[in-house]
Amino acid sequence: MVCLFMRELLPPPLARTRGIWFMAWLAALLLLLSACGERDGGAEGSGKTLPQAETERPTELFKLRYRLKWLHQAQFAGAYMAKEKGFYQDRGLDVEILPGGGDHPPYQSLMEGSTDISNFNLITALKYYDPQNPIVMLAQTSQKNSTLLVGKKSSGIRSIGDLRGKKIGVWRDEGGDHTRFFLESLNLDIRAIPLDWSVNLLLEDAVDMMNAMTYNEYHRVLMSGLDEDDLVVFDLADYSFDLVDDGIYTTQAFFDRHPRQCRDFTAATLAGWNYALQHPQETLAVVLRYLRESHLPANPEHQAWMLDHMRSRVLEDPSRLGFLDPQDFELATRILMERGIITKAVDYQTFYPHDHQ
Amino acid sequence: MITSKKTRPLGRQLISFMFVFMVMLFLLTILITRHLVYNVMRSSAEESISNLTEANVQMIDKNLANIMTIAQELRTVINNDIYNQGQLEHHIHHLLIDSPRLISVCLAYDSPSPKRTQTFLLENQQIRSIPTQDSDYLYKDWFQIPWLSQRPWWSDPWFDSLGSGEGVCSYSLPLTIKGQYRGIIRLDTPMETLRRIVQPIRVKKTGYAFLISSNGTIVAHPSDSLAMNYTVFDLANRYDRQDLRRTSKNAVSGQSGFERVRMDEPNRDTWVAFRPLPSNHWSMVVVVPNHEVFADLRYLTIIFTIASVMAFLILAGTIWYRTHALNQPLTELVEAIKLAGEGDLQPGPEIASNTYEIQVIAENFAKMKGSLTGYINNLQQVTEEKNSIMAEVTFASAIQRNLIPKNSDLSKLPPNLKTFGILEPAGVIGGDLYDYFLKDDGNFLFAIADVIGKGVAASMTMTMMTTLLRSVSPVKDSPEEILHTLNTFLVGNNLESDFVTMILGIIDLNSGSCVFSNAGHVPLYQLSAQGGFRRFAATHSTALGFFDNIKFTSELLQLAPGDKILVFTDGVTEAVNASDNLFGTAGLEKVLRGIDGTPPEGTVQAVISAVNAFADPQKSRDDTTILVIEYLGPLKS
Repeated sequence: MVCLFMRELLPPPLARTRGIWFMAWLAALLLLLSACGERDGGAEGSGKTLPQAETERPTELFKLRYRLKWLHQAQFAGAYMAKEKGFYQDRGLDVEILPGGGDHPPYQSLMEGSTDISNFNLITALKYYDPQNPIVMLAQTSQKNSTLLVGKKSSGIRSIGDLRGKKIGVWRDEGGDHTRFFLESLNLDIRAIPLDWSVNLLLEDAVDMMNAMTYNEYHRVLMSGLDEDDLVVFDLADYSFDLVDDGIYTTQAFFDRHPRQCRDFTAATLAGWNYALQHPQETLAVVLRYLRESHLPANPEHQAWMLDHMRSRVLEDPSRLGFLDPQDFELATRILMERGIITKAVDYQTFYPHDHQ
Repeated sequence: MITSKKTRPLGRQLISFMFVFMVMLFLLTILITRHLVYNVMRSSAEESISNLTEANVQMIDKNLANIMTIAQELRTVINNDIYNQGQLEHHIHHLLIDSPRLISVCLAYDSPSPKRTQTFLLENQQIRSIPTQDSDYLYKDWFQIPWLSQRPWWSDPWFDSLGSGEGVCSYSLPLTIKGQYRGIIRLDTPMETLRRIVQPIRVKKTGYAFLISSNGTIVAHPSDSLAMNYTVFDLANRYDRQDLRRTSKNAVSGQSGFERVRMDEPNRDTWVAFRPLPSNHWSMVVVVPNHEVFADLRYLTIIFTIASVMAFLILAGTIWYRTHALNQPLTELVEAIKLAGEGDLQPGPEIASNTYEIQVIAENFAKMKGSLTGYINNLQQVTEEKNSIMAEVTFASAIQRNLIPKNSDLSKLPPNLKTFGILEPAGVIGGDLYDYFLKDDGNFLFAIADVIGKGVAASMTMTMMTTLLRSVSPVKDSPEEILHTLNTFLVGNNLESDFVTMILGIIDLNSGSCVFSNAGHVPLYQLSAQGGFRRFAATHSTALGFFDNIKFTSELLQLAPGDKILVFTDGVTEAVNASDNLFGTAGLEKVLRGIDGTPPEGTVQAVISAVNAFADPQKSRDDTTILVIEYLGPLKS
């Protein structure tokens, strides 16, 4: 049963080529989390051995709030499909998926206690890391950088050096930190213009370039009548800023209180991602339903583009689904320390307690 | 009717031909007409749809231009610092009351201050001021774009949840106070106003209009689900149509146009007209299905096609009727010809046609049948006569052959002679003859003759010559006397064929001497028993029958035992091969050199075989006669 479930997690080609490695890794993770759950279950005073989610369905569901990094969209398809297909419920979880964005910043929501688990960027987690009220990473879903700088060729910009003195639109919240830190590292007297989500500033030539996610704003620019040939694009990954972004976090306190639920939530969300990427049409319908229910623009083509591009981010290396690479962790830490934003590196194992429990 | 070639009735051929011709003609006519009408209708549709688009563009732009004018006046008021805050609110109040298209006004300053940045709107005809609670507005498009670009800007539709609580489209222009950019004046007009103009637009039956912003976002559309959810480029991407993307780029770039966009889906072949709104660089797009634009063309094509088909049917019926009328006498004529072909030449019913050519053919066919019947009757009579004559000629030929000595009948030969003769007439009966018999106990007479001419006349002359020779020989001693008698007979009886060449010889059976006379005939050969031969080519007179006073002479040769005499007619030497060469005496002598010591029969067979091998069977041959006599030695008493 476990083996079958594991195979369902994988896209077909990967199941053939790298399945054994991945299954070994995920099995080890589940065993460790399970062991942790048993120990902490004791700490809760129940004195019972935790039931296996796969073999016995709990009678009472554990309510859990999950705050997304942004508004509903295909970027979070894994959570939608985990809920839709009953992966959460199978593990005894009743997950409420809450939109994030400027009105509900996910890190602040987590700290304020208006959510139990949040999705935000690695660099956000490290930037705001508070040793007195620490957070822990449950999974690093995005495995590669998605941030671009996009501008019109008509702006005359051809290389990074041409950014000197230019107006660059940067998201004003922590979503723009990647770009902001990158632009600071260039020392080119760049004027960063804080933005909301719109791409109109670029289209109306109010800024020379703006940051864009490959899976989102870049497509909106293309769908505004600009062709790829009309654009100049800088991928931050090409300039030593290959920062991974979306990750799943909770507070250390919540993690200590509910380790099994944290484990189950993580496993179900990752299973949801595998399902979503193997069933894009079905997933797309679910995503559009979330958008309509939230009165957000429901553009199937745009969401399809986003889901397709999430594939290369979530499954860049399927054997490391949800895994935080220590090198990515060190890169984010180094960038923050160089900026003087943090002065002391966070311990990787403490931040990502995946193997010492 | 079975014929050697595949045939079809005339009527069907005509109709088939007319069908092909008319289909091609109608197709060509339809295509040319369609093309011409299409261009006219396209031009007409472009004009009417563009006019409709332009009229609606003007209507919308009038609303927008009104807002822009109000905004500029308000900016002037604020820039000039004419009013205090209360007076300014009063002025805005009047603007809101006087301008039904204006739903709210926002004065936003770059330094966020709840007291300064406010949105004004009407509530029960009273002005209501809503102070802004935070600085988020600094990052809205309506503020940021005109602020950064320092130029007026029309926003995409947005939902003003803090102000009017409905979808609006905002005109923002930078606010300068004492020469300093200090903020933005924003005037909002409800999208519902624009939507009410756009949504009811109907072109043809199902054509519709929609508005797109300068980045292609669909801002007002009869289908609400598309508005604000899609750009026109999303639709081009959805249908994977580069032409739609090109058309969309033309539209958002401020151009006017009328272009055809084809989709793979049914009813997606459309014409798209687009015109920019001068005020805000949006565009109005009108979409009309192709089949509606050219509905009249379709009806015209259908009517034209029906008319063409009917014209064809009428024409085909007329042709069929006419060809049937033509065909009736032709069919009767064909039947009569068919019967005639099978041998029935009896006069049939009269064929009547009012077509000149057919009538001429019918009448002449009837005449031809009559002539043919007469000719056949005559031919039958001639054939019967010919058969009768042939029977008689065959009988004559049998008689003629009986006159010639048979090689198998040795009773008429003296014991010291061997003979072998052959006569191959060119026809049923011939003009050659040879004969031999014992003239008396000691003398053996032989003769060979060629009557000049062929057929029955020559045959009759030959028969008479044989008879005469046999009757006069016993009473004449020498060849000259016998030939003289024969010549006299020929000259005196005016026969049809009265010229004869002849060699006549008499062999003394005891001595072996042979006296012979050659009357204009081919040479005589003496074949020696020791091998070799001797040719006696000299003639002793002309041919018989020319003159009555010919002087005949003779010549003597001596036969040794085993010697042979060979005589023949010109059928041997005048045999012709394919190259028109004669066999000649040279051919004969070539044979004779190779047959030393051969008995008479072998000699004759050798010669005739060589002649037959040489002669071209396609060339005419004369009668061929050869006679060989071998002298075995003196008679023994």
